[in-house]
Amino acid sequence: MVDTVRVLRSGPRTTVQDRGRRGFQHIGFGVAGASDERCARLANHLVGNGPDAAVLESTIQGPRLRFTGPAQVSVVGCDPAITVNGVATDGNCTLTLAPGDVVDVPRTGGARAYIGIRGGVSVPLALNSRSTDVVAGFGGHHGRPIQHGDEFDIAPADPIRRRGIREPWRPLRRTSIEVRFVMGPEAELFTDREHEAFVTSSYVVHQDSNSLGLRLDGPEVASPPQILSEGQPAGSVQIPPGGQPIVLLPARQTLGGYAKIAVVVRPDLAMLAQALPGDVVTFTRMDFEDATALTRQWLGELTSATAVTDTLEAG
Amino acid sequence: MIRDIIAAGEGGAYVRFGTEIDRGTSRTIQAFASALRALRRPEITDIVPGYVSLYIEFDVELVTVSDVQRIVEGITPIDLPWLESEPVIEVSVFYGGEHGPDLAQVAADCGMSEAEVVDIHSSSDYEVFFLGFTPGFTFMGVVDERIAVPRLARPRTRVPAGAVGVAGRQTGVYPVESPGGWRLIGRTPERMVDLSGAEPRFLLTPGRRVRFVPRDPGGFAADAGRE
Repeated sequence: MVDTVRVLRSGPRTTVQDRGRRGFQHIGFGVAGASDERCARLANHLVGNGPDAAVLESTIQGPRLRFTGPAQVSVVGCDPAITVNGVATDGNCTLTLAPGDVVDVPRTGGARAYIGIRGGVSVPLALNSRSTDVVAGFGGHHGRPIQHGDEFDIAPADPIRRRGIREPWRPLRRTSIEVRFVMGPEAELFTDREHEAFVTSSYVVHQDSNSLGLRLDGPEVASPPQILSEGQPAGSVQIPPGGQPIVLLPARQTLGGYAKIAVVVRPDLAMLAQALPGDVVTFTRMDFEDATALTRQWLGELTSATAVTDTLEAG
Repeated sequence: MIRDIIAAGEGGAYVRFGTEIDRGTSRTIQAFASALRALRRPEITDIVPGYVSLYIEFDVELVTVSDVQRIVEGITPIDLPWLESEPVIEVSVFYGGEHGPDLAQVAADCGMSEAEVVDIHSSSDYEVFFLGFTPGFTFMGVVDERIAVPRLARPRTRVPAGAVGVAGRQTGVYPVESPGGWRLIGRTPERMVDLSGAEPRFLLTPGRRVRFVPRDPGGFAADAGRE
C-alpha cells in the first residue's frame, strides 16, 4: 500500500512546487517553481531528497497534514511555527513520524515555508515538472492549491538518519532586506534621476504581492513608455505607470510590457521571496561580472551544504 | 542583422532585432528561435520570442552571457514554413454585447460604429507572431491603425477563455480564463488549447494566418456546446 498524506487544513495557499518548468515559456507556460529556491532545496536536503523533488510551498500559514504511514518530513522557512501531534518543534532538522502523526504549520514565519517529504510529493509530471502553475491551472496537484480533504501519495523511500542545516544556511526572518541588483535591460530608458531615486529610496512591501511578483511602495520612479511584450527574467524590477516598482518572482508571467530598470541577483531574490507586507527593501547596484561570480559561488555553496552526507548533524 | 545581445540578470539575455511590431521582424526572431532550439543545448533552458526580441534563459552555472552570444552568432536561422501556402484558419467570433464588453467603447474611441470596428477587425488576415502569457495565448498582428486603441488602464482580473481582444496594433484570443488588459471586442466558442493530453495542443501556432469571421450573436451558446 502506498503511504499518503491527508490534508486536514490547507492554509490560505499551499502548492506543490519543484525547481520549475523550463523550456515551455515560448508556448505560454510559466516557470513557476519554488519562490525561495534556497529553502526548498534545504527542505529536500533534510529528508534526503535530491534537488529536483517536489515540496509543498505554503504562504503565510501552512497546512495541517496527517501521514498514514511512517514518514520523514521537514519544514524550512524563516522561523516558522511547527507542531507534531500538537507539540512545538524545531524545523531545521529531519522530523521522523509514526503512522497517524499530524504535522501542523500554523505560521510560516517569513512569507513562505517549505515542507519536504522523504521521497517527494508524488504528483504526476506535467511538461517535465511537478510545479503548480496557479494562473494557468496546470501541473502540481490538479493545477491548484491543495484543499481540505485532499490526499496525495508519497513516493516510497528508505528512511535516512536525522539531518540538520549547517550555518550559515539556517534561514533568518528579516524585516529589512538589502538586495543587490544588476542594471536592467531597459536601464537606458530611465534618467539618472530615476536611477538615483531607485537606489536611495526605501520601499515597503505592499499587501497585493503574490508569487508572481512583489509590489513595492515608495517614492515614485518615473516610468518610461511601455515596451513591446517580451520575455522577462525572475528578479526583474519593472516600473509600471504610477512608478511603484514590481519585483518579478520565479512564478512570473512569461511575457511583460513594462520597462525593467534592474534585475535582482539570484541569491537575494530568494531572500526577497520571504518578505512580508510592511517589510522594508533597499536596492544596491553591483557589476554584472561580480553578480555572475556571486551567484555561481552561492549555488556551489548551496550544493555543498546539501550534499548527501550524514556528517552534517546540527543541534 | 543582430544588433546586440543585452544581459538580463545572471541567467538571461535579450537579442534585439527591431523596434516595432512588424511581420519581417517576427519571422526573423522565430527563425533564430527555431535554430537555437534545434541545437538542443542543455545549458539553454528557455527560448522566448517577443515582438522585437528573443529572450534566452540559460544555466548560469554552465555558461555566461558571452558564451550565449557566441552560440547565437554561430547559428544559421531556420525559417519557419510561414504558412502562406496553408489555408487561412477561420475563427468564428461573436462580436459585441456580452461577448465583447469593450466593443462599444472601442467604437466610440475610434469615432466609428461598432459595425465598422467589426468590419475592419474581421477583414484583415492576421499572422500569429508568437505565443505566451498563458498557455497558447496568441499575439497576432497587424491590426489596422484605425482601430488601434491602448490597453485598459485597469486590467480585468478575470477574462473568459475564448475572449478576443485588441491592444494597439495587436490582437489575440485568450485561450484559458486569466487576468487580462486587452480590450475585449468579441468571443469565440472555439477551443484554442487542449491541455488534457501529455503534450498541449494549440489551434493557432506561430506562422499561421488567421481570419476572424463574425457570427450572429445569438448562436454563441449553441456553438460552444458543439465539440
